[in-house]
Amino acid sequence: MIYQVENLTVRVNDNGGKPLVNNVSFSIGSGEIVALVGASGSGKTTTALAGLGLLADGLIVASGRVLFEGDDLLKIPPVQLRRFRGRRIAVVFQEPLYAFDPLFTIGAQIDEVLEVHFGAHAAERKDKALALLKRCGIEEAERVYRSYPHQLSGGLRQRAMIAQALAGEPKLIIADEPTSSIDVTLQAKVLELFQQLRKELNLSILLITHDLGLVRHLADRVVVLRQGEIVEQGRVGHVLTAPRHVYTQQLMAAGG
Amino acid sequence: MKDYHKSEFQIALGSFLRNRAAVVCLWVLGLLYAGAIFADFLAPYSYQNEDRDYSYCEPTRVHVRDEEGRWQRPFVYGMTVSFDQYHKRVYQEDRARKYPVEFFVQGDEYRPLGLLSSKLRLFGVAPEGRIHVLGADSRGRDLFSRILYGGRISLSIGLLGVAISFSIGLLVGGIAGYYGGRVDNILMRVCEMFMMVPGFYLLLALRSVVPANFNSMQVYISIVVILSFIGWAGLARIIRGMCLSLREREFVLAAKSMGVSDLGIIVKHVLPHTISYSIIAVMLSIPGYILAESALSLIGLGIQDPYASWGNLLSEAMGILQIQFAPWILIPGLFILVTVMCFNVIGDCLRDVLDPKIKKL
Repeated sequence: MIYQVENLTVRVNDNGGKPLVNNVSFSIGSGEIVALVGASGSGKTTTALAGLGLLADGLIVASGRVLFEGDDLLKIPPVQLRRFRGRRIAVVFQEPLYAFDPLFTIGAQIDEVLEVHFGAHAAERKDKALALLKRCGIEEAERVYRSYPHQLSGGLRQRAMIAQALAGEPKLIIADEPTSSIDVTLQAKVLELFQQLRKELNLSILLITHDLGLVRHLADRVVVLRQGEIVEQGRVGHVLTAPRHVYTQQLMAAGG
Repeated sequence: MKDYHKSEFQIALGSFLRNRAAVVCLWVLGLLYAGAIFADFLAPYSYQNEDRDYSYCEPTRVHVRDEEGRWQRPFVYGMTVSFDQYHKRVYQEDRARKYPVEFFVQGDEYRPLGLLSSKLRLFGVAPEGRIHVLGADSRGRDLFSRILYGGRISLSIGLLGVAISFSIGLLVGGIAGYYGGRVDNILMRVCEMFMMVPGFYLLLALRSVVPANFNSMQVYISIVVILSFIGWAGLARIIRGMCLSLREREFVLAAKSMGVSDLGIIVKHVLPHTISYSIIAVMLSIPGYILAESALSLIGLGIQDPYASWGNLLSEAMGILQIQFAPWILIPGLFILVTVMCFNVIGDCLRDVLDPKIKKL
């Protein structure tokens, strides 16, 4: 197991109410794709980002452990946790238009990740960045490298975002609704890209989504969250063909 | 080129250049700065060159015709001084002494960048004669030359002061806004402490801390530091407000998730987004530094004689008699006025161009 979440509980600071994430446990094996599904506000993103210390202001981890290769991320001081971010665990965000800084080119932003984690010479880093873009299926890597985020199409932007996530050579990628901002034909290509990357790099992926079609195509296992609690988890085949919980059935019905 | 092919910068530049007043002001500032930079060459005398026989001598008239009305190359007459019944100096042209105005002459020595030695000056007259385009001060020093040399201090102090205070203001504002919470609280209370004290008194108090035996360079630097010390707080507060909203943007979270350090995020992904405000604020706050330096020098706490700044040149014009008999010593004030006005006009124009919230429809 590369990534284990054990009894994670997240609540609003000094608030006695219901926790946002309640006693959640699941794990991801090396090279495995696990989907975290649930409606909006069910705590998917909070669960995923808690381990990286990226919770929104005012949220605290009340209890639980988040283990990455045996280290409890919640116990690592912030300065050292920074070395995990991007380098061991990277995040692909839902809307790359907002996740890229509009003031800098794609190249500069990939370069920044490379510089933070590896240093090396500028020319070397550029070669590496171009190679990453190509690996993510971008043929005009040079042009994309020089472009600002708003100059690219949604599909290219999403690929560039994935390239940036790969820059730190992470072992786990947290993909937060990676396809909901692009249209259906491009979604299929991005799915392909994820599968290919998993195969080639033995990447583990934590897929956050409410799109069960995506889960069926991509994920090995699925964790269903509802109001911060796990209602069901298991192999995709089992859960999606014979959902035991009413909520899962509702989700499937809603997804068509 | 249609507007949609242009970058944001090109569009802004275009509408800036369409504002005629701003372009004129930019040219004027350009001339003033060029005058200050090339003062050694443009000024006919060094800032210390004095001739007591020319104390408060009026602006020299340049003649092109002699007494018989014949055309000649430009020349000036020597001046003789006498006193009227009120013991006021009266200057008269001595028609017997003629000095042609010459260009590219050998004048007072100067050392550009402290390396070379040169005596080449744009214009001048032969020794014995003196040319004072804008008149002379109490010690018979050329006002025009001293204004050019004074510009070096008065014009650079604004830029330097702004550079320092903006570095501090941006950093403090960025840190306060990015971290929020207790850090924000402490930093903002510190800012308020600086803003609480009336600026000019703080200026005087800080100036009194500086040892009296400093040489002119040290005084200059201490004035810059003192001015920056006062100026950063207001900016920090506004930047802090902008950063509070910027840190909620998703690219900040994304940068964090990529392992970029907090300082890296502040400097690279938060502060650059405040640039249009910062540019405007820089332009509009430079005049404050120029005026503050003038005020300090005017009351004798700034740049000391024999070094010139526009403020200490103006300090000669504090008596009614001097202003009455030698009104040209007010000219440095005109330079301050024009400079401050130019910066304000340019700043206003930049605000129109860069701030979309008040863009004209």
